[in-house]
Amino acid sequence: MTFIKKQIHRKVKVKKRLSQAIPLSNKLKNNIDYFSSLYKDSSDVIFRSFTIGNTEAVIIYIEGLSDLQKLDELVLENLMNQNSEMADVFESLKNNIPISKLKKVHTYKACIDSISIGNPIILIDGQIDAYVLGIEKYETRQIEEPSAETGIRGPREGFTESININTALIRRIIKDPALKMKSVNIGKYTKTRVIIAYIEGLVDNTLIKEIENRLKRIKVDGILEGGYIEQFIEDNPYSPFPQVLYSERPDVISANLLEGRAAILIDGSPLALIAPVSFFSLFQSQEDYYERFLIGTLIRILRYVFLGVAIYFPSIYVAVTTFHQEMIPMDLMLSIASSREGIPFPAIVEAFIMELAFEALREAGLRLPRQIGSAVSIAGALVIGQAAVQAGIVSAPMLIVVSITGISSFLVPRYSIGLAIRLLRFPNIFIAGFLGLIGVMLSFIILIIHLSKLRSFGLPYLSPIVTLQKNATRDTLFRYPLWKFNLRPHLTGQFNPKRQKDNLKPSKREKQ
Amino acid sequence: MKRTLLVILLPVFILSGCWDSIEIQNLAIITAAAIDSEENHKVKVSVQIFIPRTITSGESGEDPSLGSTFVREGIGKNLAEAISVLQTNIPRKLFWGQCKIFIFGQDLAKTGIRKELDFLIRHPAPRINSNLYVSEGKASNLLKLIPPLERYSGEVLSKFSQHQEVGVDTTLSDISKDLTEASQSFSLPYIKRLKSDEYARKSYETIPTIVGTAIFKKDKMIGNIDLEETRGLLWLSRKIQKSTVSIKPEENENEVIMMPTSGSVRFKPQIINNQWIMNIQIQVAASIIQNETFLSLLQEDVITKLEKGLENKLRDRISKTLEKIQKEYQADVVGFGRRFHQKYPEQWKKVKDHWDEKFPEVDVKLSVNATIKRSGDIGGPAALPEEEVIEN
Repeated sequence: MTFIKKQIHRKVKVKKRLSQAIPLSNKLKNNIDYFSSLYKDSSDVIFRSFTIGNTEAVIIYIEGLSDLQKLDELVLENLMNQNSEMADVFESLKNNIPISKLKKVHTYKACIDSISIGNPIILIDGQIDAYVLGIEKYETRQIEEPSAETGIRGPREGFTESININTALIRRIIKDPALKMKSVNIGKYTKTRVIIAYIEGLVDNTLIKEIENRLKRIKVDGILEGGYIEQFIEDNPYSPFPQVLYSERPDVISANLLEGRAAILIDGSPLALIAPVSFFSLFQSQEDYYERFLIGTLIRILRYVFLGVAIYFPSIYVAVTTFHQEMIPMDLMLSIASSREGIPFPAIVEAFIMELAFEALREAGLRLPRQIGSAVSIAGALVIGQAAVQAGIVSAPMLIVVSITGISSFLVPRYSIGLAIRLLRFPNIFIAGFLGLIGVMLSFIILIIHLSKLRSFGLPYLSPIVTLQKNATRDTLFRYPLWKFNLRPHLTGQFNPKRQKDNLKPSKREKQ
Repeated sequence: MKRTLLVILLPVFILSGCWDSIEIQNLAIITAAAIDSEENHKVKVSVQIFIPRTITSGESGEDPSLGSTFVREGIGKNLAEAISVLQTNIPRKLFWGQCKIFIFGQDLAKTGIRKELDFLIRHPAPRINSNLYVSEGKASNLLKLIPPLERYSGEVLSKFSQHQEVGVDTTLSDISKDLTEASQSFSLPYIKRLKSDEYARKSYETIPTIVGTAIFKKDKMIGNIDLEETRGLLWLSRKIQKSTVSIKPEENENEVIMMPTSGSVRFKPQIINNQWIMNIQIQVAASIIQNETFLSLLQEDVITKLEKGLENKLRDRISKTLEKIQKEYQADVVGFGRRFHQKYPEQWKKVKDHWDEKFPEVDVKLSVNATIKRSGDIGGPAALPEEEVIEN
C-alpha cells in the first residue's frame, strides 16, 4: 500500500518537474545524468561527448530525425577543431557553426522538446544554457496528386503528412505576409504540432481566438489525425453532419482562407480542416470555380437534386409501394407489380436488405488494397443484385432504386457529408415503412429543424440561405460568374467584404 | 431532450404503426370496371384485374392470347353490395386506385346511373378523374376482349380518350359538376366492340372502340349520336378536330381533302329583346392533304373558294349536331347554360328552373372563318401533265 502511494507520489513529482520547466544545471555531469535517466532504454537517443578545446561537451539527438551529415561536417568538425577558450559561447558558436537555425535554451523541458522534433542540443560544461541546432531531417512522402479529391482541372498538388511542406504549399499560393500561421502543440505524448492558418484582415479575430481556445481545451494523449481535433472542437457533437470541412488540396484551403475562414493544419495528417463551414459549402467543389459558370451551376444543381435522391429515394419508393399505390403512374405500377410478384419480403425489408448489402460491399471495397477495390465491389454488387433478382429474392425496381441511390451519394464532393447521407437513409426507410409519405415528410421536417439548429463556430449551418443576405446566395444553389463575386461570403467574409474591383465583366468596349 | 424525443417518437410507431400499409403483392389491381343492370333491379359489377407476371423472366412460352387480365363479377342490390360480393371471390384486396375506366351498360344507362355515380364519387378509392363510357349491350363483355396491341381493353379506351380525341372526354368530376349545374346534361363516349375479321385471330381478340356519343339528361341516357355528329360536338367543346374534311369545288366531280390544324372557338352569349342568342365564332386553319381535282392550288382564287367550301362544310357539320341536341334531345351538353349564367346572372335566375325548355329556343348564330395555310408539298395536282392543270 505504501509502496503504491510512493509510486504515485514519485510520478506526480516527475510530472511537476517537467511542467515547471526547471533550468539546466551548470554542471555537465548533472545534466547528462538527468537526460540519460530520462532517455533510459531508448536505444535511438544518442549521446555524443567530445571536447571543445578543453571543455567537455555533449550532443544529444535522436537517430533518424536529424541530418547527420550536417552534424558531422558543420558542427562536430568545427567545434572539435576549436582550441581557443570561448568567452561568449553562444556568439562563438554562432560564428563557427554555419547553420541558420541556432537557438539558446535553458530549461530541461525546452531541451526535450527540441530533441524530440529532431533538433540536436549541445550541452557544454560550465554553461547553464543548451544550444539547439536546427538540423532536423526525416523521411517524408513526396508531394503527390490528392487521391481523395481528384479533379480534371486545377493543381495536382496535395498535402503530405509533414506540416512544414503543407504550410509551404499554402505559402506558395498566398504570398502576402498577412497569411498567419499560429502554432500549438497538442497531445501529452504525441505533442502534435497544430497550425492555425488565416489571413489577417480578412478573418474575424474572435474566430481565431475561439479556435485557439477550443484547441487549448484538448488535453489528450495524442492527436493522430485531424478527425481527433474535429471531434473535440465541433459545436454539435451528436449531429451526423460535419461541421468542419477537410481538404487535402492547398488550392481549396487557400480559397477558403481568402473567404475569411481559418484552416487548421495537423502534423502527420495530409488533411487540413476548415472552419467555419455551412451546409452549402460542402457542396462546392474546386472545379465549380475553375470551369465556366454555366457548367459550375449545372453541376451544382445536379448535386442538390441527387442529394435529395440519395436521402429520400429508397424511402419514397417504400412509402409509395406500401401505402400510396395510386400515386404511381399506371404503367409503372403494373411493371412494379409484375416484378414484385412472388418476392417473399415486404418492400421495407427488401430495401433494408439491399441497402445493407450495398453498404457492406462499399465498406469492404474501401478496405481492399488500392482504390480498385471499390470498382470490384460495385461490380460484385451488380452481380449479386442480378442474381438476387433472377432468383426472385429481390425485385428489379428495388435494385434500380438502390443503385441510383448509391450512385447519387457519390455525387457529393465532400466524403464526410456523403457519410451523413448514408446514415440518414436507414431511419428514413424505417419511418417510411411505418408511416408512408407522412413519415418521409416528418423525417424531412426533423432534418430541416436539425440543420437549422446546427452551428459551425457560431455560423448558422444553413447560411447563407437562412440568413438571406443580398448577394450572399450567389455561390450556393447557383455559381454566379466570377466577375459577380464582388463580395466575400456573408458572415465569414463580412469582416472585410469587398474582394474585387467592380465591373470586372469582360466587355468589348473598355470603359474609360 | 432524449426522453422527450422518445416520448414523441415511440407512440408514432406503436400507436399508428402500419395499419394501412399493404404490399403490392397483396393487391388485385383493377384496370377497368363495368357496371350493368341485372334482373330484379340488381346491379352487376365486373372488374378487369391485372395478372402480374414477371416480364423479366425468360419463360415467354405463355400464349399471349390469354391476355394479361381476367374478369370477375359480383352481383348485388346496389353497387356497394355488388363490390363486396365481388371481393369475396378475389383473394387479394381490390385496388381501385389505378382504375380509370368505368363502363356503363346501355340498359343501366337508360334507367339512370345516379345511384352508381353517388358511390363512385363518394367512395375515396375510385379516382375522380376516371373516364366514363357507355357501351352498346353489356358492358362486361367489353372487358373480356383481349386487344392485340394493348395489354388490356381498359388501356385501349384510355388511349382513345387521351390521345385520339375521337370521342368526348368526360370524367367523373365533370359529371358531378354537370349534374349539379342547371344544365343537368352530359355526354359520354358511346363504345362498341370493333368487329375483327382477321383469320389468324379469335373473335374475342379485338378492341372496344368509340362509335359515337351517348347523350344524358339528368342521369338517364336519352339517345346517342354517331361519330360524324360527335365531331360537331367536339368542335363545340373547343377541341379542334384533326379529322379530314372533303370539299367538292364547283363544276368538279372530285374532291379536295383538308385537315384542320389549329383554330379557336369562341362563345358569345347575347340577350336581345328577350331573345337568347348564342354567337359561336370559329377560327380554323387547315392544310390540304389530298387533291383529287385538276385544280392548281397555287391560284389564290382556288384557295379562296376552297376556304369558303371548308367554312360551309364545318358550319353544316356543327349545326347538324346542334340541331340534334337542341331540338331532338333538348339536352344542353355543350354548356350554353353555364355561359349565359356567367354573362347574364340576373336573367339566368329566371330561366334556371326551366332551362331545358329554354335551351331549344336559343338562337345559335354560327360563323366560321377558315384559312388554308398549306397546300402540302406540291402546288398543282400530282402526276398530271402541265397542260391538263386547270389554272382557275
